[in-house]
Amino acid sequence: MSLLRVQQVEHGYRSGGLLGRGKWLQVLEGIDVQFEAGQTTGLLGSSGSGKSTLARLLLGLERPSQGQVSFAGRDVSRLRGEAARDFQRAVQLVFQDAPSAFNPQRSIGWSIAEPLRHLSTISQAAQRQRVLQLLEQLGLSAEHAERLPQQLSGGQLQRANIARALAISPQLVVLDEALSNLDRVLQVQLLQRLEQLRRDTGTAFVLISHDLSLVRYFCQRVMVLADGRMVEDRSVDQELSFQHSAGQQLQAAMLPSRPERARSEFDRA
Amino acid sequence: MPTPTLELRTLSVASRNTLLVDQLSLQLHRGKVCALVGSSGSGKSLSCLGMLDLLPQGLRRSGGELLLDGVSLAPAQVRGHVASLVLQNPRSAFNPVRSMASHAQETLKLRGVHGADARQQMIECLAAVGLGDHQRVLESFAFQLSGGMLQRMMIALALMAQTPYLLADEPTSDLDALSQARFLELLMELVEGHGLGVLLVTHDMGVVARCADHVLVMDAGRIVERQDTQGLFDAPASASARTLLDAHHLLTGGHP
Repeated sequence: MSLLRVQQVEHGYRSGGLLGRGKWLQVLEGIDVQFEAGQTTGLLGSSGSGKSTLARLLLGLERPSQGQVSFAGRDVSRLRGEAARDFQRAVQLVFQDAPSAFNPQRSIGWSIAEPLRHLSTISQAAQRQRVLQLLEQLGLSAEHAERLPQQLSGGQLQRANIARALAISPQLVVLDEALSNLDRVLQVQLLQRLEQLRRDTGTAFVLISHDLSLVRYFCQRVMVLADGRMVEDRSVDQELSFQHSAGQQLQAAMLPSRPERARSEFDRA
Repeated sequence: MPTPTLELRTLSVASRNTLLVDQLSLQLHRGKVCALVGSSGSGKSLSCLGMLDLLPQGLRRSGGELLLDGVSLAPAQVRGHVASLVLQNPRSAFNPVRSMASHAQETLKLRGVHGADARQQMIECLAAVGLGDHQRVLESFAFQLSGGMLQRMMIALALMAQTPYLLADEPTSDLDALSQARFLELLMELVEGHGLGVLLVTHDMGVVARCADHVLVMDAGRIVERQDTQGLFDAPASASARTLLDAHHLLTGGHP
């Protein structure tokens, strides 16, 4: 079953602004994809390829200049009232910059419960219970709920950020470079927890990243964006190989898993 | 003749009541890369800053004698002349009211390079780090450039200084995969071609595998393991090294 459907989407921005009309900058062209329930999809691309713009369109934060993104058959950028709330219950987004995503004057627990206050009708006690459960799922503890954002490390705060996106039990979570600032050990731990969640609840994920190793580790399907076009869409298997040069470049840029032979021989000489 | 060496002896860094770096000693050799690895908060960045006596206020530095080929030097004689520094968070490293060109001029003036020569070197160094649009970049102020561009600008400044040693604190963690690969290639060219000696602080064992000759593993401010890179990958002795390598091997091989 497809959750989100992107049809013939084009989008761009006008540069400049106040004085005269700036140049039109085309960011996305001819994007046509579907995101399936329960599936993990990696969206790869280098800086400036249009990944984050696509994320904003998926969430209905902007309306594409051509085409549409639809959820359950309805254009996500035109949803209002209860239909918009239904959409927010189904699809959530996590950005890269966790510190700016939290109210500095409110506790972590308060922030994580925010989607529950706005999008559910469960009691305060049940909300507290849910927050504790989420903290535990992401490897944090109950005492973190009482702390302020600046009292958590970057890695802890990003986990709290993801906990908030998961609070309302969405069907799809878009992670926009949400793991990029974490070290390798934390990245692996988080992906293992999210994989467990996907198995238990069927939550689908879209992992937006420039890091092929994260996508290969976590995702079942991979798409590559290059200069605003979707140049690759394939399933992830052991010998992941790309047809398009953009994918091949990302693959060539991957760091080696073992020290390179030539250099260690050079050392011994 | 022994390899030219920059040596640091028993550097300790402490806050009011906690020891953050405990008696760190290390040697950098020309033409070699020494990696300093460890998890977040293990004291890697403080070691880097402490080495050049650039610690933030409130932290105390003790020991930390610097010897260039056996001759003792003050940290102020070392920074910018013997060793350049590239930091993780590039935005705070630039003066917000001065353009990139003005930063570059200051660096080049230290070496007595002025005028058209200076301009030529700026263009070359910017091209080397992949900042092709040098006109725009040099006219820009820090707030007008992206994090990745600032990071590359900082590396370009280190290139302009032409110091024999480079201390790099997570130099690629803000760059995308392609820029990272390009930067590491450039770094290795400088190491192998020009004999640059590097201290590379990182948490990514892929970067270690790609570049490093030797590895120091840090945990809670202490060096818990010293190995050559091949040895570390073949037989890690410390728990910290094993944790980092396990994560690395999962990401480059397996599935969750």
